[in-house]
Amino acid sequence: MTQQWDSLAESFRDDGSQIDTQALGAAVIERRRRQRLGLAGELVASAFLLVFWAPQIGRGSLVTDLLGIGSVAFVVLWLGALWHTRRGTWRRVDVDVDSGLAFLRRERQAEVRWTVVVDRFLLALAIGYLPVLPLAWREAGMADAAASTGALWLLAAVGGYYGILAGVWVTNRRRRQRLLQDDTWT
Amino acid sequence: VDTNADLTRLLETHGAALRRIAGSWSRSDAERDDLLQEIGLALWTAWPRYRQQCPERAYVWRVALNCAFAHRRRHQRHEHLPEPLEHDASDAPSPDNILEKRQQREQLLRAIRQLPAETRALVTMQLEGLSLEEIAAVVGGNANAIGVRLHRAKAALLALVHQPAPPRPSPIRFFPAEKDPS
Repeated sequence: MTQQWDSLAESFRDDGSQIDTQALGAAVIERRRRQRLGLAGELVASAFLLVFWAPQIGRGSLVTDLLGIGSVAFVVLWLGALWHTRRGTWRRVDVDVDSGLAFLRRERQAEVRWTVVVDRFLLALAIGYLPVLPLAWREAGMADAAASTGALWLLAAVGGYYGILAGVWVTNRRRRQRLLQDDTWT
Repeated sequence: VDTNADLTRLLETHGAALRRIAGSWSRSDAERDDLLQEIGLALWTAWPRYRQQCPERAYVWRVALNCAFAHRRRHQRHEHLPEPLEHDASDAPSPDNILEKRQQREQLLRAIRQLPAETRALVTMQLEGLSLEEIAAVVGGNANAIGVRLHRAKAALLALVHQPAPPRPSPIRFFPAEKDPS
């Protein structure tokens, strides 16, 4: 076994080409510059969001009246994207390997739990809209001169609403299955 | 602290090993180079915190492996895809012995990439020639326990190396292959 292992080790270390440390160093410095630039951009955009957009939600302007949930969703999506892109950026990488792996295991478990929360939230959104449907149906018929046009609009809106929910549900389910199947960190 | 000078020195000392770590955690040369840059950046950022809490090589390996874990975490959804042809050196015009060595190395890397994260980390350290004490400093445990884990990891790798390579999926044909008239 030892001889075989030595042969493998030799094969592993013999990658046959020289590394250009100057080029690598320059690439690392450039990467650092771009990372800082990206972070500055995100901070400016977040400040803009905070100063101009967030107060609109509470003020009840026309835009936010129309967009309602959309405004909140926008902020949530923005923060989610920030968290996603910056996740791990500030995490210490000089911890020992066992601690690093334990952290990743906990992170994966937390992600699985989060997908369950999302599932329940989607179910609540789907059920929560059902009692409103008869009212909306009646209103659509009365508001429009041609009742059939109103009904079509309502069908399209409800279809879109449940379509989006179904899309998110499928994506979320796939993500959970992927997380559960991945045994790399166990 | 002159961080640029430190970075240059670290890359000159450990660059080749870092590239081999990156190669064990990526599926193509481009991905390897990307991960190598990530590791370099992480090393540069983490270096001011180095207080000789462990040997320098162990510290560098800690940073590199943690970076590799994070990289693997981000790219794991592509793991089920077949490896890109870039890694396959069989088409390169080379003398027979070089070609054979390359193929052996490819087979070894393919086997390493199939191992779970922890086993992969242990195996690469052992292949790179780190001492048991250094490996214990990287992993964070006592040398005896690490010795047992290393033994298991080595056995897992040897078992994989002796498995025949999976057949590469046939290339997609946009036009039907011409029939041989004979």
